Amino acid sequence: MDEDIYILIDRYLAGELSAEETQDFEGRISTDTAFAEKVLLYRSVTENLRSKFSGEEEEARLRARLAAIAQAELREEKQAKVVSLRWYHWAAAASILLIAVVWFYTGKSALPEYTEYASHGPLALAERGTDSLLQQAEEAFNTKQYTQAIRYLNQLLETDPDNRELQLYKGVALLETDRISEAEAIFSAIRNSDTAYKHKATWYLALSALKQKDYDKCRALLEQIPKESEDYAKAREILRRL
Amino acid sequence: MKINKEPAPHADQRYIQALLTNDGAVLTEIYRKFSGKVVSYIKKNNGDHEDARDVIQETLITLYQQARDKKLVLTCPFDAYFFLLCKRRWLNKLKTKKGVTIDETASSIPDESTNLVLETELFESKNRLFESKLRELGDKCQEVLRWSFKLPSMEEVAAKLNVTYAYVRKKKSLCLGQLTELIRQSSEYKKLKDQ
Repeated sequence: MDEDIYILIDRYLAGELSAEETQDFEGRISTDTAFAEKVLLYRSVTENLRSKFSGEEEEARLRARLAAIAQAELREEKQAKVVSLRWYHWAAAASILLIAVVWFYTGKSALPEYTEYASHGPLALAERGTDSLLQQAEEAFNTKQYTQAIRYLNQLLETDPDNRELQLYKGVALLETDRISEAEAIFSAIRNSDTAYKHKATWYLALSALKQKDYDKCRALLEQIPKESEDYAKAREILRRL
Repeated sequence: MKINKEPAPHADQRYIQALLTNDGAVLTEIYRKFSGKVVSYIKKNNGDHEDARDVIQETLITLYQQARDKKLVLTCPFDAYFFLLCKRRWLNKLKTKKGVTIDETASSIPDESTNLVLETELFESKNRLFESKLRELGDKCQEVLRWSFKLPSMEEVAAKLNVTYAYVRKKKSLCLGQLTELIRQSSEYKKLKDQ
């Protein structure tokens, strides 16, 4: 291997050659195809390694996330489906019964309550054994220790301040601990962003209004939840009851 | 200078974007909407559930890398593109296992996703070649290269490895040069160049 060539190429790509040297270098590229190929490949290898090494952590996080989603979504079908269908039917039957009973005793459809709808999907940030802080946040949140969860989420947000998912869960934890204005500030910011979480944020702003029994505001927010949102059915149900 | 008119991205570009931003909600949507077809295809063709998971994950990681390094722009629906990539990845895997023959027509690509699928596969082959040649370098070279691209300046690399700036700078060029030569002289590189 001609060592000097690669030292020269590296200096060229780093912009360290003098005007005269640069001219010589570029002249050689245009006349010597083997040389030009080496320069191009060297640059290509450099770019490849740069994104590979500097993106290592991010890629590992994505892998962990995908594995966690696959774990939840790609189960060996059948059995799980039957169970969840049954559960759904039971839940539907139970809620119709409940509404009927309330109707019978009070003569009117009960107003919806925050607690009926405040079932938050479990926080699933960490893959087993990947990041202890993520795991701690997840466990605190999922066991409804919201004050503790806020503490962990704050720490996570220090290193990853733009992570919408972390922000959203922090908002939920704040809402649960009645830190309403802080929670609403977070939801509003997410709602105004162009992310996948914006409808979720609208839903939580509506729940916050419901919690404070501000039914007009709640109604106005629920009206804005689009059909494709996973909370659409629940939003419609509350609207019917309000 | 070449002026390339950028093709307008398809609305499904958001799935690619979700890989870049690690957006849990949209990534979940990808699995919900697009994995079923892949799973049933693989199960029908000598594979099981685990195989399907691996194929899907590796395909998504490749798309992430292509988006990160090459600004992948989706010009066709994600659905067909993703399915073809997964299917071809699985057929290639089967091909490397002995004793499994595949129907050649099954691996030909019929539609608008053709170019994009080939581009992604070319990207991945190139990545694999670089990766395998990187592993052929000596440990010292690998270490120097790793830190050269992880740390913001070569001064910091020198400090980290406890050597002089001049040494680490020269070492980096030489290791990259060696890697360039290993790749350039490989038969895979010659094949890729012709594509």
